[in-house]
Amino acid sequence: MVSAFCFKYFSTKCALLIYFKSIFVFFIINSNMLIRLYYFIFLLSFWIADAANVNAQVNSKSTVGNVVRIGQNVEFTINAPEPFYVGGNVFVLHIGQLSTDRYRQTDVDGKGTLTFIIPENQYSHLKEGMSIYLSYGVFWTEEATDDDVLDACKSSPDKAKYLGKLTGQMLHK
Amino acid sequence: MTFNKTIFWGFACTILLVCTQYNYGIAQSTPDPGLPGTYVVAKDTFDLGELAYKPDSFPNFVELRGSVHYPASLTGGPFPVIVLLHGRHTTTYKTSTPGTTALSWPPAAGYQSIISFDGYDYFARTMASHGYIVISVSANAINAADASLSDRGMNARGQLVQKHLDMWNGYNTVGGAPFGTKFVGKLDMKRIGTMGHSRGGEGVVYNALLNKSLGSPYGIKAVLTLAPVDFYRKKLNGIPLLNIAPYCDGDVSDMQGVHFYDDTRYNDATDTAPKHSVLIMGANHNYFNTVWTPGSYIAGGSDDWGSTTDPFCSVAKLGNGRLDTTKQKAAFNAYGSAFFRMYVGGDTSFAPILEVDDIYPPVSSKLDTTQVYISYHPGKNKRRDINRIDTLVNTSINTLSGAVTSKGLFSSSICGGGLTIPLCNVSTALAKEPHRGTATIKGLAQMSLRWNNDTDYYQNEIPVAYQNTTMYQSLSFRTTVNYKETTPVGRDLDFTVQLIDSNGKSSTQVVSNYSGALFYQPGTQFNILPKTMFNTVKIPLIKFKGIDQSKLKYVRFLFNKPDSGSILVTDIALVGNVKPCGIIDAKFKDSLDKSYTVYFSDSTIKNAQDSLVWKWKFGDLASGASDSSILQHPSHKFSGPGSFNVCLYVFAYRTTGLVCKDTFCKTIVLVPNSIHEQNLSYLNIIPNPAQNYIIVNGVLSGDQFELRNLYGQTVLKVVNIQDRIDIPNNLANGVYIAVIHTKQGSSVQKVILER
Repeated sequence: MVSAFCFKYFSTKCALLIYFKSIFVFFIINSNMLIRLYYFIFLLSFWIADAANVNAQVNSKSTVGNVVRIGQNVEFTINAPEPFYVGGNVFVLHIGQLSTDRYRQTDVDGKGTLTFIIPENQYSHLKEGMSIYLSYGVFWTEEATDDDVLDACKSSPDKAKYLGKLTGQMLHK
Repeated sequence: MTFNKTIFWGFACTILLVCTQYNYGIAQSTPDPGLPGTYVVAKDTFDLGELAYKPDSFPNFVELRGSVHYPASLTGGPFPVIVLLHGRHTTTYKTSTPGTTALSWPPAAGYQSIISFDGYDYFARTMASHGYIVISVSANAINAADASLSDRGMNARGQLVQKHLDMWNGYNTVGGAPFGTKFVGKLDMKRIGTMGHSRGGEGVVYNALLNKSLGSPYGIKAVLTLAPVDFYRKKLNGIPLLNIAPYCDGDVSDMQGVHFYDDTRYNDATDTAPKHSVLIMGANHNYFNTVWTPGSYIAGGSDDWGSTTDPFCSVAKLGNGRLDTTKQKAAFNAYGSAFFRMYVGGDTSFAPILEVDDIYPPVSSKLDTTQVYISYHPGKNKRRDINRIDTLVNTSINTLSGAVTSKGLFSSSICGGGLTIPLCNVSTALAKEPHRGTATIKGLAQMSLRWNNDTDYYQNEIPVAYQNTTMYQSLSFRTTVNYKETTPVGRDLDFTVQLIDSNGKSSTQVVSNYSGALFYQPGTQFNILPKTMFNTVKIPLIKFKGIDQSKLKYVRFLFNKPDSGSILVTDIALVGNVKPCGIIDAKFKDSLDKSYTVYFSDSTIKNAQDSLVWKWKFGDLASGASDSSILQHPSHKFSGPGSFNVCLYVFAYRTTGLVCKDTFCKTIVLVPNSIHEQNLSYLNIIPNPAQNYIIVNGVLSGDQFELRNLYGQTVLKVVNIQDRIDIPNNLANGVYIAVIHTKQGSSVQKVILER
């Protein structure tokens, strides 16, 4: 899938993919049957994985960024080195029992930012040490325990990520 | 040798593929809606500017841009109109490195817009080839800025579609740039269908509600939501709706769009608009749009099913159930075309597909029967609800006030959300429950039935008043396997439907002969799969041989297939192509003269636009050809004394054909010595049936009472009626004729003696 795309729209990443695939093809042609078979299986697995061109909605490198008070709100920022997914569903920030899906989504210079807007009177009820999660869509109720949510994050890392604990510094900014 | 092996394995695989298809007993031949039509198609694009329109509800200006597909010759119009609205997707890409995208509007320097509206061209071509004008609308500006809005841009999407309808109404009436007069008189603005994908799905629902609120300036006849979000749970009644849910949706992974179907079922008691839901197994969110499909467009495409570990939805897993991009588009193309051509174009030949009478997918959809499942909720005028399973009371009393009983069930309970019904889902399993409610919004109330013995059953009684079911064609219900209580994991289920009439005769049909809905829904992705997606099972009543359909007393689910399992059930109903309107009310009064001639008078009140047809059957076979009549108020000279079952059938026709029918039957008894009867309706005999006495209400001093048997013999006579008339013990049970002689005349009434 990616290769077909590459032939149509050139990019450095695509060029590297084509280069490595060409090397494999060269070895297959110039090897004995057993080696060819191994290469074939390896290449097949490569192509199958490649064909997916999957896209995780929650970036695995997401981190908590700035937390600032602006007027009656606290703006709680999540950063990622790539743009966040743009789709139908919503990102949800969970801190303790607080869940919010009100945010601005921006991507500048290839980096993604989600800025969640939390009313001050809600944010002030949060406590240091509460767990912070980011999910794409709503996956758990308030009844879910921390262990439940951690399981969800581990099992579907493309949909939910644990971002650490709420620190005193974040809380009192 | 190699050639022979190839042939062998090819043959073996072919046999295997053929044999793994379900073989249902209701194969029908329905036209294929996905095939191209006869019109040559042309396409134009239009672009009135990136910041050409300011919706009231949106902070920014938005673009007025899109494409139009149409029959190239434009002769023979006006043509019905379809409007397509894409969903939320990244909006621009960097021209020098298309892999770099940016969510902004208008495009920054060095960036170009992503033309999401172009992604449904394959569908637009199909529809235009059948004589539709298809307009696809760009909504990038809304996508770029809706994240922080409290309505997520839904009002703006509704207004944007309305703005395009206004624009095209202008092109249709006076013309204008960039089309000049090309489309003047070519669009039928009273026959419009709208389709929205993802956030566009909720957007077209908002638009239909907006159009209604404006007095319906445009005739929106059908709304299709494709893998939609439903954040705000707006209810659209009165317009046929189709929701398409892709099972491997990695974006809207809780498939929340099914609420558009669920929430509107019983929301409006007068709603005659049907609702449909199509579940496509193996389809993801993005591949319906070619611009969002990797390899088909320069930037931004992806497979939204991000996980690589699920055995069914992850393409990385060998033997997965995913559809490739071609199949996924073909599936939407076929079902979308069927829906719009039926409800916008009026072509009812596709009804069997959408109404679950023909569960074989159209060939052009490239699906088999294990890859597509449909729910169908007929309009009010085409169904009689037996048990909506809509409140907690429905565990013991159904919608018809009949008793709900069971035998041996391990458990039976109702869940579904809302303030009075407990939630079905808990903790982290929300995305597995697309039909779910919340603490404050009711979801799909559903009955959980768990059995562990093959004699267990669940039964709904039909009260006497509703037992005549001859005007209905099918028994229908929605169901799914309850994966939480079914072992072993992955086990498909089945059960038997048993209908029992009031004479005690019964007949059975096995669900799996009509539907594959009781399959264990696949996948193991933690907190997302498997799901409980309900699908309709519909069994023709004619298949239940040997029962009297005019006296249907019980609908029983007999769990005698696998001897243990758990299912969820809702929406148990009788469904028909024609149902009494409620306005047509076939009843008649009759009067008698001394020569056994009875004068009948029908009291049906009809709709103004209907024309009525009457058909009488007097139940007097001895009278030969005169035993029937097509007059509204006929008379019939009966062949002699006796008991006759007289039936009146009333049919209502509109320009579209038969819309309603109703039946009324009454037994009349003619005694040998006929009495000229007066209409003395104030005379009333109670109790009736009687045991040892009767009381005649309304009599005056001096009135006389006479009781005759069916041979006309007087068996009891009372000269001066007192409060109570005792009935002699020697009178046998049966029908008698009571004659009450008053100064105003005589009244004849039937009395049943039953002791």
